[in-house]
Amino acid sequence: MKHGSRLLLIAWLAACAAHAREPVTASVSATRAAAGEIFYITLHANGSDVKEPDLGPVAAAGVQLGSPSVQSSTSMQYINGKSSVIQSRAWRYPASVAQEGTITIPRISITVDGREYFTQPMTIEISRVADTPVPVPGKGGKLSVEEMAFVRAVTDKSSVYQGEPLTLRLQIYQLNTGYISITGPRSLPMPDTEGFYPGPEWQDTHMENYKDQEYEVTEFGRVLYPAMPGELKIGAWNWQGMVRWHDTRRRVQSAARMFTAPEIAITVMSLPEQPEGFSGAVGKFRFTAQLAQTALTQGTPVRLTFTVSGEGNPNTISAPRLPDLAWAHVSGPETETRQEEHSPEVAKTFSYLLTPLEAGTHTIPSVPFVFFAPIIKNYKTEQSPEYQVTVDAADGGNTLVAVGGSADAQRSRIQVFEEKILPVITEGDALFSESGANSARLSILALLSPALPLLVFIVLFAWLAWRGRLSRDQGYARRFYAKNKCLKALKEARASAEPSENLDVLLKVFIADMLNVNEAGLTSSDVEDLLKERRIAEDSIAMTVRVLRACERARYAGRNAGPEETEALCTATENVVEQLHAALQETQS
Amino acid sequence: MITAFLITMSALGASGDAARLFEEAGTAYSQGNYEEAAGKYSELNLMHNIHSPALLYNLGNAYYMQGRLGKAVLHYAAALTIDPGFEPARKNLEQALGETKRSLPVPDIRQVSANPLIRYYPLSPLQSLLAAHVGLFAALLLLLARQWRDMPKYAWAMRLCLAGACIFYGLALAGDRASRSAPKLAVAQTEEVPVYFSMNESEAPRFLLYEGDRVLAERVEDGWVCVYAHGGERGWAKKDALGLVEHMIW
Repeated sequence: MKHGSRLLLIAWLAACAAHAREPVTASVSATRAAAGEIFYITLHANGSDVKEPDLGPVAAAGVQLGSPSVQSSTSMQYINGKSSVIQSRAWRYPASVAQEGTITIPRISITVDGREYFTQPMTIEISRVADTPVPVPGKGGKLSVEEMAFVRAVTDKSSVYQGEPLTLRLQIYQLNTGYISITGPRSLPMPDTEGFYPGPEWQDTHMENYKDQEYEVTEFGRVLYPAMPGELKIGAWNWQGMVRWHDTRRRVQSAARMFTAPEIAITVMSLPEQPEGFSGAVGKFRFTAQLAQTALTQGTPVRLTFTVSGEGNPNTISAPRLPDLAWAHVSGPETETRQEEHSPEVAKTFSYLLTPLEAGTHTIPSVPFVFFAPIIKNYKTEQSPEYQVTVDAADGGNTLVAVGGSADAQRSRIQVFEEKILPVITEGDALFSESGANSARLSILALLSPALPLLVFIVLFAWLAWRGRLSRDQGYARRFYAKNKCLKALKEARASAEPSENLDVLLKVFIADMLNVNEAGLTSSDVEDLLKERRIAEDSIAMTVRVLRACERARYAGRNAGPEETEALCTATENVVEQLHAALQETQS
Repeated sequence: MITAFLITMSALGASGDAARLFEEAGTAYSQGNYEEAAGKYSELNLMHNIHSPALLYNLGNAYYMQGRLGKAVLHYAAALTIDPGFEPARKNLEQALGETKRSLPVPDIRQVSANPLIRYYPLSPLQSLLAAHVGLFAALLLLLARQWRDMPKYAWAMRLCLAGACIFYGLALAGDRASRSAPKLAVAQTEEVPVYFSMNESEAPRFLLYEGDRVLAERVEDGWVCVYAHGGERGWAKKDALGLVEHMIW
């Protein structure tokens, strides 16, 4: 009994381990959903080489799938010295079902490590209505989310000929109130159009009344040209979006929706047996020709332009064949295609350059343009008009170069100068003009050019700073002007009738300015003390005091000093000023 | 004095010769003698050492008219290197490129160069220099504004302008230096130019360049050029088959 229970336990553990190692699993986000409501199918697969799942059976079961979000991780295992890479992938598909009932999501096949595995089938109950009607401000009744926003894919034809243009319109309808908006994926997926050549595309927005409601319709139009006969399909247009609206209380409501437009079957018929000269164009076309002028000059080129305009694939329209003109050299054609905006209308021009080689009256024959017109289910030929032209002989024939041989040989060797490039420069001055320096390289002069404005800046800065100090620092200003002021006063004193009278005053003012002290009441003893404080040399102090006293004596003496004595005093004062100025500057610095 | 006079006279004589040769080349061109015109323009370019954009442009025209598209593209590109605003050269270059086998675009030098300044800095040295001048001028104006009204924000703005000017000047110097060592433009001169993995002609070519194709020459060694083509292909091509010209980075 004990042995049996052990065996059971081992078997159970083995089963658990086997289940845990199941390389493929699937799950759905909900077992019940309403018709049109989005739920998610999640697939997991583990293995060294995991392929994409085959979802064909799921789509066949009526489940509409959107683009999946894929997660992938890779790990490396070392077992007994052997390494192996394990991939773990998960796909999360948004899905919805339009019909109510019980839907069984069939087994989904995923190939892992070369072996096909199947997920377990899953069942989901789909209830009748996806959206309970919701009241919307501005609209009288209640509307379902499906009525608020939906998409349609329509074509203008369901049966076409191979190459015939077909217009596909993908339309997003959004109820025209200011309260409803749709958010789609960042890049709106487009339906599969395999088997069709893509033509012009456009997008516009307009208003449309649909089922008694006014909608704002965003339309993506594109022209398709069926590439092969048979039954072709324009794939279903599926994408996941979010509808937001304001309810009557102005609260924002939202609902995720899978927007779906079913696939469109197109029957493509093959073209009947092609006639000779068929241009390859299929559609509705007009064919016109234009000759710039009919009075021509020998050697002067003239342009002959054919225009094919209408609805059809411009890439399949070949150039109309201009017959050989013995009297002219024909070059081209130059082709230009012009596509009308927001319309399948195209215009393709073929421009030939005719250079008349022989003077006289000549004919440009009518040129046919054969295309298939689906409206009459047959080929149609349009003809250009026939042109009669007169060619006058050229004076010098300077646009032609003819080289020896027969007339035909001459024609074959004629070289027409076509002004494809601009002519050479012949002005001699241009030869030496090294105009326009290389923008990527700088000359030495250019590299040194900031030096001048920098120098100007530095000089201006220094000068302004000095001016600022003069106005702010009174002591500095007195010191700066002291010497000049004193020498000027000395000069005036010398010129006066009694020079010795003010010599002591101006010397004291000079010393007071230099030391930034008040000159009033300053005596020679005060000056001596002040100079000693400033550590001026003893001999300079002695000399200053001596001159000061001599000046004082001369001033207060009862008699006027003689000219020699006055001159000696002035000179001594000047010397003292120079000496003190130098000494005090040195001390200040 | 006499020496100066002699030098001046000889220079005048040389310029007279060059002008005459230029005129002769123009006459040959107008008469359809493109080979002769190209020879005379080349003589002016090489013997008289004249590198004016007009001469290089005319040389390009003479080669174009001979159907030598590689040389035409090379000379138009050279003219544009000297004068980037030379519109006729740009137009004719476009025409010549349109007639080459595949009109290969010039690789983006910013992706090739290891220099971060070339890779990421958007301004040319000249633009950086102009920015430095603007910064200095603004600093000067702010200095004067401070005299008018001494506000701390003027002082800060002035310091900022000075710092900006210094930075831009530094970038102009560095950009100028970088442009001197940048890869040159190489133009394929022969109908087909094989490009090899290494400097070995016996191995199978890695890819082919066609006449007029423009690539970047990263370095030149022993008669071989390491080229970088549009799309990121690299390889070695014979120097004789390529024409080199300074490349405009900015």
